[in-house]
Amino acid sequence: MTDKVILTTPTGEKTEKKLVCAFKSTSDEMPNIKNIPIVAIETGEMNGANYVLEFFWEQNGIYQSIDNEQAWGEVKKTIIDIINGKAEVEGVQ
Amino acid sequence: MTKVVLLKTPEISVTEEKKGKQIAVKENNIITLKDFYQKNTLAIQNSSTPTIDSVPQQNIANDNNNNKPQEKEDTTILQTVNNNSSINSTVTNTVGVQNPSVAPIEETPIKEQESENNEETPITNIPLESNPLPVSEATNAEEMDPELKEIKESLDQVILDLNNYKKKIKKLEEEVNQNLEKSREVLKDTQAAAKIMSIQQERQRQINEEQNKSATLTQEQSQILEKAVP
Repeated sequence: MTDKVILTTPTGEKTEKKLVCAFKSTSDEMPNIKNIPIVAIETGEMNGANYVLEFFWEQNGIYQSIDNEQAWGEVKKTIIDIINGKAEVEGVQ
Repeated sequence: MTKVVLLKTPEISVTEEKKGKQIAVKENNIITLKDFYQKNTLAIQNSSTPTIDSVPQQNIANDNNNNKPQEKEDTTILQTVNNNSSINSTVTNTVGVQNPSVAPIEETPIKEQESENNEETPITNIPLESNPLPVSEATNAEEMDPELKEIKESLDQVILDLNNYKKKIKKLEEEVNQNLEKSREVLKDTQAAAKIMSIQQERQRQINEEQNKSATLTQEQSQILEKAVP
């Protein structure tokens, strides 16, 4: 199991980043992100004493910025639930 | 309970060089996330059940997190989150466990984007709370909003200023580098000119020597001629 991902831009530029988590929510309470793959990666940047994480979701087979505010809210809620031990793992794909 | 399926993702393609949405998270929360991802993924991969069965996270944590400090586990287990998906949701403890890493979730200022294409990307802290907030106090938090807002605005300003300073420093660095490059070029030209001058001087010196020799020979020749003529 690797904890690294390679981001490939449309120009073919590859960047290796540290993967924090990759998941998809299967909860009905998260309609905007249900069954959509999401990755959380470390940017390597800091915001004060905190680490900055970057999120992408898969749309049409390609990961991109989460440009839907409701979906983004659901992603944050999922992350909070995971941190608080309130997430249930249904499997690995 | 949020249900998730973990994904093995060795390589991903990004549509644009646009930054994804960002949040700022405390180190221990990143560790929690990584632990959750890695241990659950490994546990399910290594388990004898090949199908995607429902695996309660807490059971996995108990089975596999033997080296995980108990205190940290308490930190995550004993928290509840107000079911508000907005950025300003508040983390509270249901049980009054003193935990220094617990703090209210607060929205941190938007980080200034360098690229024009980059859209506004909010950075949110997901720290945990240091003291459990009773429900009444949590309700009173709304009354503190103006003060928090003021603090947040001043923080926004500070971060904007910092980013502006960073930009200025970057610009100055670029200028310094350009000047350095120019200086190097000038130095190269000067060195080349000095080399040419030294070559010319050497040639001039050789010419002078030859002229001196020639003059000496002419003088000797005339002396010989004078002696030879009666």
